Amino acid sequence: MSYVMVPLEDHFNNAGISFSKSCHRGDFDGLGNSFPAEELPAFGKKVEFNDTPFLFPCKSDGAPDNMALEGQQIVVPHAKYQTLAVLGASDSARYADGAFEDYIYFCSGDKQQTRSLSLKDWICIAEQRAGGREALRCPFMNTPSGQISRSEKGYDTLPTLWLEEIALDAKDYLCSIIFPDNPCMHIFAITLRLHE
Amino acid sequence: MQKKVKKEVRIYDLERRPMYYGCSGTIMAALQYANPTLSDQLAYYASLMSWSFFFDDTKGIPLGIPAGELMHRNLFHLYGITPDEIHRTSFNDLWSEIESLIDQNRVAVAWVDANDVNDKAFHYDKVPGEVELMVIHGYDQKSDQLYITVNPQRFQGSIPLSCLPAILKNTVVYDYQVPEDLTVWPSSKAWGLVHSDTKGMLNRQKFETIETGLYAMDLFAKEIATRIDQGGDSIYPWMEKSYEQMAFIGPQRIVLAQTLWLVAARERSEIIGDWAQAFHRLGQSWEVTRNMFFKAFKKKNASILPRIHKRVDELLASERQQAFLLRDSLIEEKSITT
Repeated sequence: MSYVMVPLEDHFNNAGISFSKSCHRGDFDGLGNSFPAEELPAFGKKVEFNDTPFLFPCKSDGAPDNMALEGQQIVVPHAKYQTLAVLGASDSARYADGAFEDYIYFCSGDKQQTRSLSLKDWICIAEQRAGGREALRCPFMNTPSGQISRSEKGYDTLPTLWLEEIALDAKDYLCSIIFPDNPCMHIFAITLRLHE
Repeated sequence: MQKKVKKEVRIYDLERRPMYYGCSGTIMAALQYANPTLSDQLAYYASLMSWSFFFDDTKGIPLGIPAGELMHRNLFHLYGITPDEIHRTSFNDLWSEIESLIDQNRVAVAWVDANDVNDKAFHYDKVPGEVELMVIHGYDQKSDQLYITVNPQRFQGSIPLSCLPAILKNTVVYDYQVPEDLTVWPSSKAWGLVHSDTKGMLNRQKFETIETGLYAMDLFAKEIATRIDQGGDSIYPWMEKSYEQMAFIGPQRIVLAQTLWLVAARERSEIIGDWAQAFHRLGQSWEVTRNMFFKAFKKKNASILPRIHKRVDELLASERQQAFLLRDSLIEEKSITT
């Protein structure tokens, strides 16, 4: 199978990862909490989840490393694709049933395919994890005051990246993807699988 | 003689969802004590349900559901139980009533000032004057213990009996009888609530400075436009206040969706399932909108406000469409409307 790992760096607008020596320099959720860099795959390298390759984002201290969705339009190589695989997570979805869902638009010339994308919360409670495909789960969360694995309210705080796959209509040539304006949904990497 | 009495009360555990609605879960725990077979999701969700939108015309902020409105739909009301409210001017008199209830093999449900108890039973929302509902199901006078359940905190344990006078002041204890035949709550009743909610959304009502329904949402959209035009730093306190006040708007729609899903399953109705999906999306979208307020005032970034305005306009259009769709369908579906 052939894949296109789409570079997203130009669209990154959120620093959701921080290093242990500078936890305060990340802010995934608006509360100053972030993924621990040391627990994630090598930055800027290819990484595979569920046999799908992704280009894991580059990371430098305090710099953006993911795309909080705000209507970005991503140009992709003109081709026919079977699926879009997404590596991401939502923030603040714990009180909205554990996941946020919104529409993505796939543009092919004058035509458009609309698909729904659902991303589970990055620290959702155990019961809300059911049915989701975890790409990775960190053993603790970075906060402005250090690293924690359990909140004051007694919930686990184990930041998770979720893997989602969206089936596409492979008869159309795709040229760009438009994401919704939903800053609670974050995407770290996307990969398109070419139609064979 | 110093007495020790302790009744077993189960925490009402509904799929371990984070509980933002305290009182209904606590009342459900108390009802289950009276009738252990009772585990009624539909009544629980219905007790939390309301689709109305409220807007404070003077302060220019949207509101979550007022407490009075929430309470009139609580489980006592839905089950047709009329609790007697026990008010006593002296604590000793009030305590005798609680003692008497527990001695009769019953439990007491009481409002308390959560700020005054320094205990993990009330470790969140410790705001002066913030009230919380708890089930009192025992006491040990010798060791100064009061056995309580605070459902939203998933707390079951004891607090000092001696702190009760301080936390019970100006509050009320309920005395109620649970019918022995109390069982599953009929979906037709939930349907009736959806009907009343829909009417609430479509009809403009005004309570002092509070507007309700779709008209109130129009006011909110206009308020955002005005704030964008005005600009300046005063926008941030308004955004923060709006964020706080909007806490229940998204969850209300999500709860309405959960109620509709349960009704859809019982009635085997695809159309009701579709409505549930629509309200779930609306609820999520309100949660995202609220979160945008939060991130904007935290980062002092007012440039996000036009995006919020666009979202609110879209939500307003969707809510209006749903309200009319639902009203028309309710008129047609008389067979399940009671």
